[in-house]
Amino acid sequence: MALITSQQYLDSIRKLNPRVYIGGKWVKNLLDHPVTKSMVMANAAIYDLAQQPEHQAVMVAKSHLTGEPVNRNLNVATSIHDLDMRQEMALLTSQTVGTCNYRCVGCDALNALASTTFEMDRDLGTKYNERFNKWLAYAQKNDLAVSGAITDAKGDRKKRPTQQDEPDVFLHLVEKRDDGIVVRGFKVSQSGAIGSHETLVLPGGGLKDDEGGCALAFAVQNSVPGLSYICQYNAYSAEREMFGDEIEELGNPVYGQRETSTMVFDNVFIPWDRVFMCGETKYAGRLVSRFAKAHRMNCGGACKVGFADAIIGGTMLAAEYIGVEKVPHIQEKIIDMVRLSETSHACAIAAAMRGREEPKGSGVYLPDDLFGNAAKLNIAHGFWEIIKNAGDIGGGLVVTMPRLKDLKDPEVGPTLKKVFGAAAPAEKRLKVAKFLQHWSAGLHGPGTWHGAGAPQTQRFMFTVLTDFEKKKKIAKKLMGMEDDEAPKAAAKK
Amino acid sequence: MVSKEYEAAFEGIAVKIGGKVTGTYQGLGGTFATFVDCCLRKKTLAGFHQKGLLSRAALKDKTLTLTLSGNHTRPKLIEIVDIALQNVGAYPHQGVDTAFIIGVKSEDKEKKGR
Repeated sequence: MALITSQQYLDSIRKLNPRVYIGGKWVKNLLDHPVTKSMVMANAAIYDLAQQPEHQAVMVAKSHLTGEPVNRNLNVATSIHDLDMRQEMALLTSQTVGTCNYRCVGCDALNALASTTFEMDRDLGTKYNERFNKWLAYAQKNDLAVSGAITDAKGDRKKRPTQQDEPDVFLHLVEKRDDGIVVRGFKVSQSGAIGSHETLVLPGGGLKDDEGGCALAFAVQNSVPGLSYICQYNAYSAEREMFGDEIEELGNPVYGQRETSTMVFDNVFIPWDRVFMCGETKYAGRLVSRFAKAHRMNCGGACKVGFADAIIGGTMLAAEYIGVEKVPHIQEKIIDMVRLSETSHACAIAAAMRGREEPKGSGVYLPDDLFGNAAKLNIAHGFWEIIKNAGDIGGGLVVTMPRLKDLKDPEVGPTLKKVFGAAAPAEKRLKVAKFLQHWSAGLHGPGTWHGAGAPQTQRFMFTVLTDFEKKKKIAKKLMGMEDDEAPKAAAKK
Repeated sequence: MVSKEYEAAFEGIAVKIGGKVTGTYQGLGGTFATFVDCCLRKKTLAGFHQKGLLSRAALKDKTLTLTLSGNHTRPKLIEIVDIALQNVGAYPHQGVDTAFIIGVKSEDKEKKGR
């Protein structure tokens, strides 16, 4: 049963009953609430992709543990090819659902864990890698949807985790027992845990020696007692709730906006077989940075490029529907949108191609850090430009449009059809305007900015990873400054 | 198929109702410990948030005995434990070695039987 169908996934989710709160209500069944359902349906679509022969090269990999075919979302990359297919998966899934592949963070987390637990066992004689591989074999065997939770609430940023007035702002250890650990605290901005079978929890960042209580990595089941999810709620949540089954009214009808939650751990028990780090502060930062380098390649250089493809397509349709598709400045703006997105994709491909085994001997391949960060930083800025152009070409209608079903209203419908009919019927114009509203006036701008780390973190990585002295030497040599006499010598010759 | 090396990491759990095995499950090591922790420390069944469903829970060696409040038919008991086990990551699995047992009964039936 290494690859399950979307129906099998949906059947399994119907049996899960996580404690989920959204917009003033506790959700009884994820498939009964319009917002949580959109998240589950996105996951189901990802399961479908792995069943489709034309996508199997991207979506299916060979388990390095068992040799069996597994969903690439549960694969540890052991080659350049794996890295390349991983970023292609991010592109494909975004093009397919127009929202998160909610298994994406889990995939990058498990790759970071495969690498770092190997290192910890090698250096410290622990058994984390052995445990992790057993957990991974179990996840692969059941083709589990695994999400990832990284970001702590963090509290007062001037204070370290142990100095916070509210200790729960960093997920932390409460108790070590013979059979496992008990943990407490919050993880925020978490994508898709509500509809995942398991979530991999990692530390939120590097830690100091005395912060061992926060150096935790583990896998937690979706619905264990003590674990609750408080979902995001915004205008788009309210709109989806209001329209109920009339999803054709929405910008991304089936799969919705990106759905996140705050995970609340109220003294949750984690058995040792699921614990992959407990107190090893020295390795916490390394674990998170390995997650980040994988995620920046995939999230920045491929996932958002898939979104951009959808936005560019919608923008071109909007131009065609009003008859301006051949106007030079419109074409120029669309070319700019393509340039911005494909530059990021090029960075992701470069990050994969320049990937390497890390650490040596682990067999785990991680992308090139510099190119992964370049992909993310480029798209963080580029995405705003892309949605700006979508709003520009889509016109004011993107935000001034009436409801789609108003076109069918016997009183105002005929008038609206006259008002908005152009080179295409009003129905098509409003449909594409709603689609562009979803992107340009929705949640994806800030989501792209902050997802996989806000741009300041990538700028910091650039300062660490770039050999600035080498660049200065290159310039000096060309100018013939100091002891670099190359130009003079060349001139004499 | 998962290699024997990894199969050994999984644990089998048998569900017994009225002394008869009604289902077998497989989960990662520690799944039974999680289930026991839910019942003894958190006093609840995973996936069930209403208070009072779990009336009593007792662990002896590798057997956990649960008494559920109310009067539940055998199929209902099977359904409840199935959901609770799947909510801690144990999935139905035939022909698995079961090192752990979960016995379930209904409180009202227990009272009537006295």
